[in-house]
Amino acid sequence: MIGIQGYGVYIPRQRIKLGEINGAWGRSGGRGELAVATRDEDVVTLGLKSAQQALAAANIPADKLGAVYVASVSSGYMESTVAGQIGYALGVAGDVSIADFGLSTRGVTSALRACADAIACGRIEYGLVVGSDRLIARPGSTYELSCAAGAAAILLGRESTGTLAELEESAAYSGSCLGRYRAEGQFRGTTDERFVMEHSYLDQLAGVVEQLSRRDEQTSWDHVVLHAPELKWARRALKLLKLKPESLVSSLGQIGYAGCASFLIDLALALEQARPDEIILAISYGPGGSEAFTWQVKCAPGLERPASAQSQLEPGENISYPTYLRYNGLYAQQPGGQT
Amino acid sequence: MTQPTNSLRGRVAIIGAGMIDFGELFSMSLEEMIEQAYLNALASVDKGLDAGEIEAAWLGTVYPAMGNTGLVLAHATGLFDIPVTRVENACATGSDAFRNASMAVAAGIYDVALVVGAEKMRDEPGGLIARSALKKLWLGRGVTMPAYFGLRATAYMERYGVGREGIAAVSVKNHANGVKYPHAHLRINCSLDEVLKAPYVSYPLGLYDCCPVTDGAAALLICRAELAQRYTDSPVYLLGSGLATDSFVRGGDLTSFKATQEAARQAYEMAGLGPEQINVAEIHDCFSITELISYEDLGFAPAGRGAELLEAGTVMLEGERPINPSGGLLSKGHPLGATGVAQLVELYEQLRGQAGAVQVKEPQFALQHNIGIGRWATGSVGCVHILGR
Amino acid sequence: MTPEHWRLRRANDRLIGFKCRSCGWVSFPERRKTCKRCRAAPAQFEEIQLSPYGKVLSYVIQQRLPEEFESPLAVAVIELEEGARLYGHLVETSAEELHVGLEVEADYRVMYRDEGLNVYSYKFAPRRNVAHDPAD
Repeated sequence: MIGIQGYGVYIPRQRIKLGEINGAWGRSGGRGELAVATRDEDVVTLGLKSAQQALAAANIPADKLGAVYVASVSSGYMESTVAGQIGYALGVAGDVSIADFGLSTRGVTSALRACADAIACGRIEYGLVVGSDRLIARPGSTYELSCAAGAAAILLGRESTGTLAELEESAAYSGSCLGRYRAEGQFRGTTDERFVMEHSYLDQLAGVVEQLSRRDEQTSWDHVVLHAPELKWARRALKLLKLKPESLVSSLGQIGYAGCASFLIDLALALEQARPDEIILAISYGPGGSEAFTWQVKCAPGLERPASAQSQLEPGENISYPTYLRYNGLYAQQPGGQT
Repeated sequence: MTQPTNSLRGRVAIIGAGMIDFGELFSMSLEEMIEQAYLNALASVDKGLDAGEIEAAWLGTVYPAMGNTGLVLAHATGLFDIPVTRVENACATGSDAFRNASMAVAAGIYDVALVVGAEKMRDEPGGLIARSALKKLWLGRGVTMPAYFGLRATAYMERYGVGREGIAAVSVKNHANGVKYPHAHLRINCSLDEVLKAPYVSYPLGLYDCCPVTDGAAALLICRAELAQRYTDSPVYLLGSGLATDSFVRGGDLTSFKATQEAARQAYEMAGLGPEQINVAEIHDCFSITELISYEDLGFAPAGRGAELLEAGTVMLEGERPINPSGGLLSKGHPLGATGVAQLVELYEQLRGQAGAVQVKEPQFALQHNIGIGRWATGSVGCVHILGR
Repeated sequence: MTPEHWRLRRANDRLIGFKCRSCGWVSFPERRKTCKRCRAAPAQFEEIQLSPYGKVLSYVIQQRLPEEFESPLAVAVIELEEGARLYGHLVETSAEELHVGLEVEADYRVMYRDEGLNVYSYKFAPRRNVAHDPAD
């Protein structure tokens, strides 16, 4: 069996309150906060920190990794490698398999599946899956009220005494509506969001749960991760799938949406909240498809571990809107210059 | 005077010296500055010197000019056909050009040589700071000149319990001198309070702790000592010269410059003199802290006690051993290649009693000192010369 | 990736240092065959993994910098535990807590941008939750 041997989460300390953003645009209200990376952070630096923590928590040296797979939709590159950069800095050996998964936030589970398959077939012993994103929205847009930054990594390996959770079942689904898209150089948000929610998001989540039910008779899960760009989307899906509202594990209200990272951050939160033998259902979402995984918890890490996901949800330093713009390179003295 | 074969002592004489008024010389090109300094040096030779007698020339300049060659000097002065060598050695560039010219003359290769130091600083709006190493991974990363010396200031203040006012006193003294020096860029008085309250450039250094960004040029004419009387009855002799490098990555403290200490040791030994015999000095005060540390590195004060020289008045214009009577780099400005040569020009005038409003009382021995920060900003180049009548 | 960055990559991304077998001096990030401290030439260097921890020997807070740099920018001379000295940009450090002797740890960040390519290196942040060294 494949198991989660360790995980790491890195959420930047800085927060901007939604009220601060709304205030800057002459709007009132707004509850919640977004995690904001500083100017000298990006998907590589965020991802590396989460990856280092995952290895340290599992006490596995980087040179034992057979794969480093990184999922991100915000590296900014049309051609390059985030996984290669993170892997090298981690100290991987030369025989490692490096791959980047992008273009869709669903990429985080494509990476997970590829890693689990490589272990299952005996090709590698350990593999690291990293989700890292720093989403930046057009100033003033509604997306600005959800886009955030963060990273998380999980270390997969064959089940052993230290295994946190065991992979039970998985399923995939691809529907007719491909959802949102973003061309090179564009900000997020070029589609009708209600349309995307109903015909891509809800369709995919229902579809993948149906696929899962064909393999697994379980219809109720202790903890549910529903990868969503906004909390209200996840709540709609809960209702549609007839899941217990209290089973939802989501960091969206506290740190906002960080693309591929959000899926793994929420999975880490679920692990920390779970008790042994409980089952976690985690469903990814992104343009083109969804994937669902169920995990049986073996040895829950609890909330006491250093740099827990839960502890990093706590509010850090509050920043002003001009600082937020500056950090995101939107208010630069020299746009696109020194970070 | 004895002349050991491995020494420069007494073998080279300065017979002419000239410089231009330093400042923001937007109307002058690099060539025009060099040309004017050269003409001033020629005109200063007491018994006259014909351009045709110059057998070789050295140009000290840091910024690339005409493809980094000495050709710019030939174009500026018309001195084609003879050997022209360009020297670059950070802020010790001008001094090192003089040092190399002196070695060639002392070796008997040339009878008469020209040394010019010049720098066009103000054609770039950012000046020196914009030239600092920004895109560097480790070595010199984002370390500007004020930062490099500011790091020394923080360490010095921490180790010796000296406050910012102890360092600022250097700036007050030098600006007071600079007001009287005709070639200085900044001719303004400033109080201790003004130095302390000026905006920070790089904490703990404020605006008045830093030299301005300045254009300038200076020139020296030198000859074999035996020929000096042909050109003047009061030549100035080179007695000692030293040059060294260091880097803090090797270890050691951050409150001194080993390159200065080593260059001074070489120069004192060559001259057969000690710091107590120096009557006047032009030392490198690119920042106030640099002068304070240099008092100690040059042997004028024990480590950590440089500020006492200011409190006691020893280094004031009227003091026992005036330091930077010209106002130093803090007043004159610091056109890199020109700086060392201009210091030598000023000391030439001091030793001959021609320094006007800043004349020191009958000096016999003078010391000139530069410190430069080069590659990667972890180390320095120190250069010291000792001159005598 | 530029050739210059690639040459330094092991030191830069993995904090690999080079220790002189003659005098024990640690070179970072340069890999050399001569020793800057004892002048051994050729010197024998062994590769060592540097610790990410060190302390501030001195610092400045730069207020006026070219536009591509954000200011104020705190830069320190840092000595790592093995003795290597280097320049470190300080991140997540308040002016109040910055002092000579501050214990810091390496923090991987974007150093600069080169033609659209982010170039990474370690900066330094205060070492959190560490017992105060009475030797300071």
